[in-house]
Amino acid sequence: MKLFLCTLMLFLTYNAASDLVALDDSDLGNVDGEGVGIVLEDFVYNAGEQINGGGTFEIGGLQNSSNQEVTLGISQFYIAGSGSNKGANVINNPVNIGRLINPFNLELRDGNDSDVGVPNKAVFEFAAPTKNVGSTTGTTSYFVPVMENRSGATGQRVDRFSGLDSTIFSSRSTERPDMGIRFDLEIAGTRYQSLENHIESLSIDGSYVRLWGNDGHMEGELAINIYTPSMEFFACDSAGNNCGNSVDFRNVGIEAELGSGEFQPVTFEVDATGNFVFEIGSLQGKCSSLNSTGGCNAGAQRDVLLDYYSSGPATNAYIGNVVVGNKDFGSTTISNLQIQYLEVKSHDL
Amino acid sequence: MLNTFSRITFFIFLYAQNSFAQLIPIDEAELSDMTGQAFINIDHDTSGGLDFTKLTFGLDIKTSLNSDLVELGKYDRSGEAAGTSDIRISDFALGHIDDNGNIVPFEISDPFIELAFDNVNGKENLVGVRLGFGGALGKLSGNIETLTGNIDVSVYGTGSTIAPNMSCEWFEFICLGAKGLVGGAWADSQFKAKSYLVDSSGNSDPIRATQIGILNGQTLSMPGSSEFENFIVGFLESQNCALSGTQTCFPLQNFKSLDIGSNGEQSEGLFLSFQTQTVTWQDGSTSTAASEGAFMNIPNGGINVSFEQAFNGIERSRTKYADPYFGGF
Repeated sequence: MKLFLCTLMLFLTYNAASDLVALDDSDLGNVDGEGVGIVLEDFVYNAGEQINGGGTFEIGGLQNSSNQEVTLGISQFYIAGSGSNKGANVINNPVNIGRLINPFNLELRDGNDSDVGVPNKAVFEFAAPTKNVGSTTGTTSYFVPVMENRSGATGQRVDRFSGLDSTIFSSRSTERPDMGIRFDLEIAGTRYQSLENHIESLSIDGSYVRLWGNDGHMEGELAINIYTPSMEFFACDSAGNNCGNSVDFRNVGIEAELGSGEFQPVTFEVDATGNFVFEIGSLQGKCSSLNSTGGCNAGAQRDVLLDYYSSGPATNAYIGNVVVGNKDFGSTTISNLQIQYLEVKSHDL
Repeated sequence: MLNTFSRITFFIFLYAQNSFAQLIPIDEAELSDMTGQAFINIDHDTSGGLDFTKLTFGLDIKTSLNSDLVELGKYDRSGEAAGTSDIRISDFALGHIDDNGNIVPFEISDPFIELAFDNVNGKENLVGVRLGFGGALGKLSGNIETLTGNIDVSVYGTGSTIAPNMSCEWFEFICLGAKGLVGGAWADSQFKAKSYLVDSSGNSDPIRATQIGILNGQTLSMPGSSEFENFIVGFLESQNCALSGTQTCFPLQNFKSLDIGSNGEQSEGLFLSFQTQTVTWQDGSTSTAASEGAFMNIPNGGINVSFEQAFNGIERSRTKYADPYFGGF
């Protein structure tokens, strides 16, 4: 694999003594590989109306169903190290985003690479730190599935997840940020409540966006991974005080793969009316020899579809426990969700 | 020699040098002529002593998807079997594939996320969260192993489809008379009954139910018939999952593909929710009381099945081009 030697460090540690110097064309000409690694060391972000002494940080231009103006004032938005205590301990609590030997990557990939699979295309990739092969799963998946037979059906499918394999994480605890946001909801000039969301020790290892061109438009595929021991939601009064019981989603794992190369590309476009269209390509037409009920007859095309159904892009999501106040409401599982077709169009309400 | 990255960068800058276009800001007046900027609504309401905050997305969604398992609320619950869940649907699917191999997508409009708060002494306690849809249309498939919620199925059919399933002993004269009427004079008349989540004895059981059927004491109706005929048929009431010898409760797993929507139009009120106490959710003028835990609401009138389908079950529609429920083809 080609490695690009120009690693960009946007934030250096306090002890860094080296200067970043520009590479001239001659230097660049000697560089092999195409990519930029991004590492943010000792990173802290803390912003909001309550943080910057009365400044405005808000999302406006929204309405309610009665066409009254809605404003979401952002009291605080933070990214900090673990132990941030829901945004109370931020400034002196930095976190590393990525690591020099496993950074976030901006890279031009060769589409012929086996792990890319977009033949004869240059593929732009923005990727989070990669994952390890798990000691329990033997794959890069967080989930340990238990399979079962289903009445009336061939093959086996997931019955439950029997465990979670945390050895897949390449990010250390010091590289997993706490994040949070506090919204103040204001409708027609009246402030109603403050809504808060706090995420602990977030990892997005293994996530990526890949983009390439095809017939004059952009196509892509996505992998979105989210792992956190706690994702908590609650509300406070309009002044941000008197916070009530929270809903706490614990041990959350989401692994979402959307699109599969040129076989099933993801597209995003904005039409002439200003509305967006998001699509995941349809499997319709992938098989030209159909039986009387619409199924695919034996042959190479069916083999491709079987491969897609057994190991194609899928989404798995698991919440270990939903805790409200002192009550436990157990686990939630969505396993091996595959999207054969998706079209999402926006419209004005 | 320059590498690929450098060459691309070079051509980008080369192109930029020859560009005479200028980016200028769009003023408010011009922006107001644009659509696509108002696809999110946020509402805050109070109802039944609770505060509701609702985030609605102006989206039209068409999809076809399959999942091995959708399971919500797996925890020990008083009165329920250990290891069960509030909602468990295996081989879940939205949308289907027709006999010509065309994907017939499941349609969703205006999805929303709504939060319910109970204000106790000035504290906004979050007591409910739901994911709902302004409208839904299409086939929902799966093995519904347990369900907590509402799935008010209307069962309909002619007397000729009901009578053969009525079993009467030789001494049950009312039953025999009813069977004669249903299969004779009323053979072509439409009968209808609402079904609910029940236990194996015909009692209402909306928590982790495995069966759907006609509640104890509930009668059939004849929507297109006279008051007199409805009066007569009103004597036939379901008890203990039977009506004049006819089975009136059916395993939820019999209904492998359900049609959501009515007469080709989207139905309002399909939602999945989670609450810590009974929360009454509002959809327009319709109120739905959702019990503690995970809850799935399939709108009233959204699903119509014939008596024949109820007796024999609804076959699963094709949801994959190589479908395990079609022998793998």
